[in-house]
Order: sequence, then C-alpha cells, then structure tokens
Amino acid sequence: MMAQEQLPLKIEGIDEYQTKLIHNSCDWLKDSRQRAVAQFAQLGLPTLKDEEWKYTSLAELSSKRLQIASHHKLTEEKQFHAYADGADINIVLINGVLWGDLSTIKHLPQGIIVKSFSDAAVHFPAELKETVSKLTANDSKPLLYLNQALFLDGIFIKIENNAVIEPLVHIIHVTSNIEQDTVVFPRSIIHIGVAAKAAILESYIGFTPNSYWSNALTDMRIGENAQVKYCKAEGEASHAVHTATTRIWQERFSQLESFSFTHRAKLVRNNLTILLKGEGTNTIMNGLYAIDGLQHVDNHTLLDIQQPNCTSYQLYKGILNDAAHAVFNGKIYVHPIAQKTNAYQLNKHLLLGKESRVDTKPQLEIFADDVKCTHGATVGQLSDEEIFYLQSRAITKELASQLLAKGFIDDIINTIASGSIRQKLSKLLAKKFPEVKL
Amino acid sequence: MSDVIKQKQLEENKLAGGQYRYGFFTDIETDTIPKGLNEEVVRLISLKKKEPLWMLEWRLKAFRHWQKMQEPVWPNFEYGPIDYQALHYYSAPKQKKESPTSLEEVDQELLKTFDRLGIPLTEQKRLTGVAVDAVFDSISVGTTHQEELAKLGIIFCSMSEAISNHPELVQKYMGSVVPAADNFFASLNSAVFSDGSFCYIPKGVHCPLELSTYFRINAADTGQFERTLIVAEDDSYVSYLEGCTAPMRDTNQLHAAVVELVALNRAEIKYSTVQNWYSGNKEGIGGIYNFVTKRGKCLGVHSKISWTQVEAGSAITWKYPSVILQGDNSIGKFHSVALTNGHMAADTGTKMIHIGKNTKSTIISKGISSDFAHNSYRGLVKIMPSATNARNFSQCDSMLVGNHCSANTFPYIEVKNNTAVVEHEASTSKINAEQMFYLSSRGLDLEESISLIINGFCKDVFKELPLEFSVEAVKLLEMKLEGSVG
Repeated sequence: MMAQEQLPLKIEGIDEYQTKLIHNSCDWLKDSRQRAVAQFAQLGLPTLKDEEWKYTSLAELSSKRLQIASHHKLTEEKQFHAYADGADINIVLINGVLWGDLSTIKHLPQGIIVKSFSDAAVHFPAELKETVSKLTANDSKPLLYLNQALFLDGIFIKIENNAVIEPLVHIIHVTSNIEQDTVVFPRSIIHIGVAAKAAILESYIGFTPNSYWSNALTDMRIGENAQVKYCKAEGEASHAVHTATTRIWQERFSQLESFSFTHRAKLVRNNLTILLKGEGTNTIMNGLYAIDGLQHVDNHTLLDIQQPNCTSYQLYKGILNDAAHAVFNGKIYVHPIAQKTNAYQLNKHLLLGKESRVDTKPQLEIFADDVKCTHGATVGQLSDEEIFYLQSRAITKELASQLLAKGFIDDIINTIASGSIRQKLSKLLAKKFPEVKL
Repeated sequence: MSDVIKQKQLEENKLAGGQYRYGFFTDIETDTIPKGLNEEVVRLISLKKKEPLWMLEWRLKAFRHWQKMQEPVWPNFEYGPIDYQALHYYSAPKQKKESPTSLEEVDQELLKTFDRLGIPLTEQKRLTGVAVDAVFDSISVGTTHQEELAKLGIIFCSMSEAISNHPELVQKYMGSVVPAADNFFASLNSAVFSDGSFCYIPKGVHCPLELSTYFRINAADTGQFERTLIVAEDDSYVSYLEGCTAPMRDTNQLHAAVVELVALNRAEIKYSTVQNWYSGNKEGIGGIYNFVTKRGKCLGVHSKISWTQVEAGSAITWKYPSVILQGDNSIGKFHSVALTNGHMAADTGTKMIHIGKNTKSTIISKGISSDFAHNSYRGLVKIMPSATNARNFSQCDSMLVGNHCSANTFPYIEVKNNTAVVEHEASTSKINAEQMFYLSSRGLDLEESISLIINGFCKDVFKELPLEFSVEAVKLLEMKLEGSVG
C-alpha cells in the first residue's frame, strides 16, 4: 500500500492527560492505552485519500484545538427526563462517566451486572482484556485507537447465561456542560451470556450549545443461542460531530436484531461490524438516516460471515432533504468455509432536497460457492403516480408528500420488534416528521 | 464417493478444462527495437512510423508525464512487478515491400497465421458483411473492404495511415476522450502506441458492414500498445468488433490498449469485444496482462454508445469500458460476460458518467468464476448536478463453481441530482441443483446441462452481440468449459 497522508489532531493538554490516564489505570489497561497512543500517533486522522474515507472529510476536526471534557455532571435534567423512560433500566453516562443519580441500576433484575468500566477492569480483567484487544477489518483504526487511548471511563454490562432481561436496557450517553470544541469518548462493552435474552438501546444525546466531537466505541459479544435486540440511536446536538465504532461478535445459533438510527448531528460516521463466529446464526441489520440541512451521514457496515448456515438481512433506508449528503458502504464478506449462507442487503434512498447527494457502495466479496447473496441499491424520488393518486383522493400535494415520506420511514421503523425502542425513535423523529393528520 | 461430491467435481472439472486453440507461434522475421523505455525509444517508434512532428511531441509529452506517475495499487488481484525496461516496445513483421498497397503483397506467412486464427484475410475480401483490420504485434498488416467503404466516405484504416492521411481528424479527436495523462497505462500507451484502427463515419451514413479489428500478439517479450479511435458524425451508425489472441508462453506479456469512441448528434456506436488472450496454464503461469482503457463519449444529443464484451482470456483483465453521457438524451449501455477459470483474475466493469439531461444508462454484467479464479465487478454510476432526470439500471450477477474461487462486486453509486433514478442489484449463486436435475431428467448429460445453464445465464449479453460474434462467443464459452469430464 502507498503511504497514506494523515491529518494532525490537536488536543489541549493531551500529554499530561494521557500520562494521568495511564497512571490511574490498572496494569492491563495501562498496556492497552499505551499501545493505542502509539498506534494513533502513527496514523493520525484519515484523509479523503483513504478509500474508506473517500466521501467524508474530518478536516474540520483537524483545524480545531480540541478540549478534553472536564465536568461530568448533567445540567439539563428537564430535557433528559423528556427522553428517558422510568420503566427501563437506565444507565446514564455524562461525558463518558457513569452518573449514578439518574441511572436506575441500584435494584437490577437478576442476571444483569452493570459496572463502570474502571470497576470492571479490576473485577473482570480477563473478559475485558480479550474484548478490548480485538480488531476487525472494518475498524477505522485511527478512531478506534483514539478512543482506546483517551476514554476516561465507560460502562460494562454483563448478562449472565440463561438470563432473560424483560425491561429495556437503555444506555444513555449524554454530552452536557462542556466547553467549545470538546471531545468526548463514550465507551461501552456488553457481554451477553449463553441463551440469554435482552433488548438494548444505546442513545447518544447532547444538550449543549457548544460544538463537540463524540468518538464512541461499543463492543458486544453475544453468546451461543442468545437472542438480542440492539439499537443505536444518534440524537446528538445539531452542531456535533459523531463518529462511532460498533463491533458485534455472534456465536453459534445466536440471533441478533440490530438497528442503527441517525438523524441529528451535522457529521456522522458509523462503522458497524458484525462478525458471525458461529454457525447457524441469524442477523438482522437495519438502519435509518433521516437528514436535512447540511447534514452528512456516512454508514460503513461489514457483515463478516465466517461460518456456514448463517442467514442475514440488511436494509438501510435514507431520507434526505435540502443539501444533505448520505454515504453508505455496506460489505458482505463470505469466507470459503461459510457454505449455505443466505445474505441479503438493500439500501434505499429517497431524495427530497434539490441539492441532496448520495454516494452508495453495496459490496459483496464471496469466496464460497454454495451461497445465495444479493444486494441492491436504489436512489429515487416520491413517485408521481402515488402523489397523483392521493391528490385524486382530495389530499393536497404537500400533505401527500408528507404522507409518503412518513410511510417510507415507518416501513423500516416498524421492523423494530421492541415497542419501547420504536416509541423512543418515533419521539426523536417527531420534530422532523410530525404525525400527518388528514 | 457420493453422487453429490462426484457431480460437484465434474462441474469443477468441466469449467477447468478446455485447451487454448490459438496458442501457436508464427516464426517470422521481425523488425524489433531493443528492450527498454526512454525518450529515445519513443522517438524511434515515431521515426519508424514516419510520423509528423506534432505526433512525436504528443508522445513525448505523454511519456514525460508517465515518468512522474505511479503504478496504481488498488485492484483486487496481485501481479508480479512489471519491469518496463525489459520489454520491446516495437516489433513488426518484416515486409518484403516497404508498405504493401494490397493484400497480395502481404507476406504469405502472415496471411497463413490469420487463416489459422480463422480470419482468412484473402477470403474476407470476397465475403461481404465484415471489414477487417488485422494487427500483428505492433503494426497493422492489412485492412479489407477499404475501397467499398471509401465510396460512402467511411474511413477505416490503421492508425498509422490515419496519422499521415487524415491528420486533422486525428488531431481533433485523439486524446479528447482518454487524455494522455488519464491514468498510468493510458499514458504509457500514449507514449509508445504502435498501431491500431481508425474509423470515421461521415454525417448521415449507416455503415453497411461490421467493422472489425483482430489483434494478435506474436513476438516474445513485447508489449502490445494499440490505440483505436472511432468517430461517428451526426446521424451515423457503426458496429465495430474486436477480437484478440496470443501464443502460449510462460512469461506474462503486457497489453495496454486505449480505445476512444466519439458519438456526435444522434449517432450510434456499437462496440463489441470477444477477448481471448492466452490466459496462462493450469498453474497460473504465463498469460497476458490485459490492462486496457476504453471510453466513449456521447458528445451529441440523442447519441448512443453500447459496449458489449465477452472476457474469456488473459491472466489478468483489468478494464472498465465507460461512457461519458454529455449530450442531452444520450444513452450508454454496457453488457459484459466475464468467465474466469484456472488462476485468472478479472477486475472489470464500467463507468457511466451522466452529465446531460435525460441521459440513460444500462449495465448488465455476468461473471462466472471457477477453480482458483477471482472475478470482480467494479463499476461507477455518477449522476452530476446537471443531469436532470437521469436514469440508470445496473444488474450484476455472479456464478461460482468450486470453493477456491471468489466473486466480488464493488459498485460505486454517486448521485448529485435529486431527480435521478438509480437502481442497482446484484446476486451471487451457484448452478442451481434443481435446474441440473430437471435437465438430466430430460436426458441431457452433465456437460450439455452446464453449457445450457451458462448460456442461459449469459443470454442477456449474448443477444447484444452481432450475429457472427454471438456464435463465436457461445463456442468460446463452450470450448472453455469443455474437456475433462469423465
């Protein structure tokens, strides 16, 4: 490979901060942080020359002098309560640190353990160490190493073997009370035991008028026969940059329904990787991005099929208004051993804005012959015939467009099995797509 | 051995087999310049071809630019480093006469070679339907039907002739679609190209014959760098065919061609290729590196360019016949079958650049991969902000036979206009067991069944080929597939 150019990253007081972090970490974490620091120093931020970053520029971040968050308190409780729901297991992190006051983790149901990352690093060193050291083909290494080097704290959730967790586990990463140009590093590790069952929602929200960059990292390991519903909801402040690396490992016969929702930050990059490590797994990998203004959303997904008899469905939908720009890069990789794979991928876009832009690249890399894999991508507008039909039923053209756009979104929101998650996403979407009243 | 495994092995064997029929070498006296590449060599090529000064300057400019370029590293296959200094950049069969004016004066040995390849130049004269330009290593050895075409005002000749006889046309259009600085291999070609075909269809003329060029690499350690330029004036039509073969050798040979098409108002160009360069032996040794830049420009309104290709040879095929849809209402089409077996690799696809209003493009790509082969579709559909109401449909299907091969698709879709409608679909699968069962229940043997299924799989593309080529393509696939059953 050719030597790639890199963008420098300037963070105020980074050296002292790093030294302090390393000093305060337990032994294995110290090593991990040190390695990550060295590796990031080599890479720098990616540039447009990097094929994986062809359509998304981080130059803006490079031009700024960034700060590290110094407070970890929530000041906007009212707004927070409008979003969180008392019936769930709420796990609240403010600027990357667990906030006990608002979290409802004192009386947890049986079978679930919730600990701050720093606690867990001491209590479950082997488990965490193994997860942290993993690397996947879809990881954007600079972002991954930066988080691993600089995250202050995070959350560790462990669901024990055979446990069935009824209420929704809601991890809420809040960015609040920060200086201009702050960078935060949300970090989560979720381990789901054999035959366990849970629904997890991970929300990223921001209540600050200042601009910031949230560089998140979530790792999830799903045990054999487990059934998991996982949703990532991005609802950062509108001037935020959100980059997230999500990595999920699925063991034999496990089932995963994942959903990625993006709608608020001005620049979003999601790197989602699902690795099928066991045979007979079932994966649903859906997503929705509803963007407008000058928003830019980039979804990079990889489904890495390493074992036979796996089935997967992927549907990503994007609805773009104004001058919004969406990028989708979805890869399905089928290893030679992964015979009898059924993998389907579809990426659909609805362009409503005059200057909206889409760059999409659905990608298949297949090394096994007995497989059925398809992918598709469409870019289009509202159909004139559909609008005409509604008009002929005495619905105004504007209302008809709204109705059809809402239908486009509801179609995918309704694939989410968990009612609680669906409700929260609808709440987030309500501002952009109000309920259409006829 | 269970029946299922046996059947699978048979299927694999079937695709693996097939002998290369065109692998012979013609021992003929040649005029070859020494190995190596520098400005002197570029000057020497230009001198040998008695080119005007502007052409030499054009070559030198390209060469100086090429020296600054780096070889691209992004393709989805690996190949050994190419030593550009270890190649002969010009090798021509020695002619008895300086420049033969008719086919009778061409060396009999050469004519025999083309007879063996199934391109009987002397007979072709009498047959109607196809006019052939035969290119042997670095030069064109003969063009048939020139006079008949000239009556209609059609110019069909070798590139060298065009440079000396029609410099104004060549100067106007050469490099207008693929600039000399376009990419690494196109720049190299611009500097050292030796011959190729030139074709000009005047206003309002519907070319009555299929025009065709047959490329033959013969000499060892040479690179073939030909350049083809087709210009179709307003309201004209031309169908152009291209075929290629090379001897079997255990070293890799480089073929870096450039093809430029220009379609003016309401003109239509149909370009078909059956590529059957030597693909290397079963261990993947030898074969041609086929690194080609092909691009068409729909310059005029309502113009149409269609690329149809059957890629069945070459150790490595690396090409993306593209269409720039500049004129309003212009149409671009790409139909491709890429068959890879043995250790072949193909990284091929197309680019459709929509610039004009109401432009339409269709992409149909079929890839068949067996043994240890790698087959990739890589394509770009780009809708520029000016391309209101652009429409694209793409379909890429891959078929895998065996467990050591791979099939990949890398479609890039870039949409910058919200009135565009773009659809892309792709699938990968194997030969359907039920189809096989059905055919065997109707008394067809394994070989016939596979051949029938593969033909059906590729039908969308074959039906786009001109009749003669369609037959040849079907035969070629059958030949590639036939062999080691039983």
